[in-house]
Amino acid sequence: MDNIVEQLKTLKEIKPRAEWVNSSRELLLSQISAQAENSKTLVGANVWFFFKSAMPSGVLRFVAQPIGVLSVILLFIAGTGILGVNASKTSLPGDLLYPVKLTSEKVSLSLIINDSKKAEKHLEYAEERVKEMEAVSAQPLETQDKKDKIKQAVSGLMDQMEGAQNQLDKVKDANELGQTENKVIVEVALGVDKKAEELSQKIAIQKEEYKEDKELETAFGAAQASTNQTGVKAVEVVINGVENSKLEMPTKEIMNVIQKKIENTAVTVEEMKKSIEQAGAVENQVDVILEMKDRPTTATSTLSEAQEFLNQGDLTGAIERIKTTVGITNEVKDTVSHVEATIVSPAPVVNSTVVVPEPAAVDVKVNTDVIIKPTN
Amino acid sequence: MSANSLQEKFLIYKVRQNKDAEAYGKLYDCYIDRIYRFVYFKVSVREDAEDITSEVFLKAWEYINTTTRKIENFNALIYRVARNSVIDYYRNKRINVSTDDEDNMIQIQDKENIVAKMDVVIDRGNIEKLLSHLKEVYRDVILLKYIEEYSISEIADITGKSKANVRVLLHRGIQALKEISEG
Repeated sequence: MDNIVEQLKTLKEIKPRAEWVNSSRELLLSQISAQAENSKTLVGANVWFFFKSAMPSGVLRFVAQPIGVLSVILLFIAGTGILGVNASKTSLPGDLLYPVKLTSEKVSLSLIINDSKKAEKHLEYAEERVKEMEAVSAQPLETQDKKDKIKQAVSGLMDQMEGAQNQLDKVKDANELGQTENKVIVEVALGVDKKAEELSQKIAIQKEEYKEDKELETAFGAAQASTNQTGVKAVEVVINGVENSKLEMPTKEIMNVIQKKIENTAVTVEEMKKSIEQAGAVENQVDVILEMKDRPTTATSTLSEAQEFLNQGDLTGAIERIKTTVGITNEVKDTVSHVEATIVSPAPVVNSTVVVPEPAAVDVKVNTDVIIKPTN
Repeated sequence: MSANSLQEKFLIYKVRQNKDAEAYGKLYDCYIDRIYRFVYFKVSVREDAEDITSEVFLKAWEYINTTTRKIENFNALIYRVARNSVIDYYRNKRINVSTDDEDNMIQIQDKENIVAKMDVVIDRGNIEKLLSHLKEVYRDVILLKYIEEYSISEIADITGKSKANVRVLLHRGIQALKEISEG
């Protein structure tokens, strides 16, 4: 008997996987939080209970009938939910229905099981944030109000990019995937990269438009860096998928994607050089700038290595070098932003009538010397 | 947090009153291991146990927030939801499994099923194999008493049986387990 009981107690060691416990918790809370958000609108219930307990029953019956009818109508409208969610689709930061829009996005995301499809969805919502930035930007709002709304959209975009990157990491780390699954992942990741590319260009336009406002320019810069990083991660997933499953993918197409990544990263390196020079002009920041002095050279040589790897057909080597370069540029960007934040910036000027320049008009010259073109 | 403690009642209050997701998260943390084990011993497949357990917590949330009845005991409620979810699972899989009735045993159709079932559990400890051959009603009370360490009174609440009945089932269950282990 004792022996059996002792053996039974050892079964307590059977536990669910910690990873599953966390992901299941996250999913559960996102599902129930969405319900909780919607239920908060029904505050009238508490008022009704208070009214019911305070009033004599005759008065209660007198008011109950019209209130009942009205409640049925209101509950029908609120209860269907569809109307509210649909109406919220066009809402912008600061609007009453904007939280409903964000909640419905969260719910949609929580319903997707496939990690790569989830990443794709994050990009779809990131695009929505960019559209919101553009819409707010076109509105003749008070400066501070406009700034707050744009910052809200930028912050939402960063969240989506972070979510997409996490999903891409999961996809990359997944083992034992079949040929078909890998093919789908590669196709989705290519789409994610393409979308990230488009969004990065649109953010660059916004960044240029608000270059007078250091705070907004920095926010857009961070959003663009995060978007570019998502693109790099997506390409990493593509390479991983192709190499793991020996897929017969159009290698030339993938090489072109990587080539484009190298060229875009070269633009970022040039921006980095320029920002270090500008920050160097700031008094009392000489030490910080001196520390970053060799970063552009390191970034340039790493990027050149990426190009060499690509020319040799080593896609993994190439993307690893691109990642390193992007890491360097992001680190420098953060430091420069910190340096600039220590300077008292002039009152921000937000002008909604500014003519939006073409992406190519971004004031950066690409140093094509750092790029070794493909040998083929 | 012990089952049915004051803290648990407070969390249930917050869930019902404010639809407080964080409070429900704490209940989840407290019960996830036990409910998973409870389900796992009934379905024997890790992935299925995970799916069912996730479903249990969502169903319990929906019940708490839709019922007009007072939730006296979350512990009993969550186990009841878990048991019903397992019944649904087997119903969907068209497998005949006993649930409440003490006299019903798992209906194993032929010897091949027994072999298949043994294959599933072959890598697990001996006691786990023995448990899988026990009547479900015995297995439940044994699991709750010796693995989850619930009191007789708590097991009675969870299973909906009297305390005397639980004691009898525990005694018979242990005897049955001994008989199976001896051959």
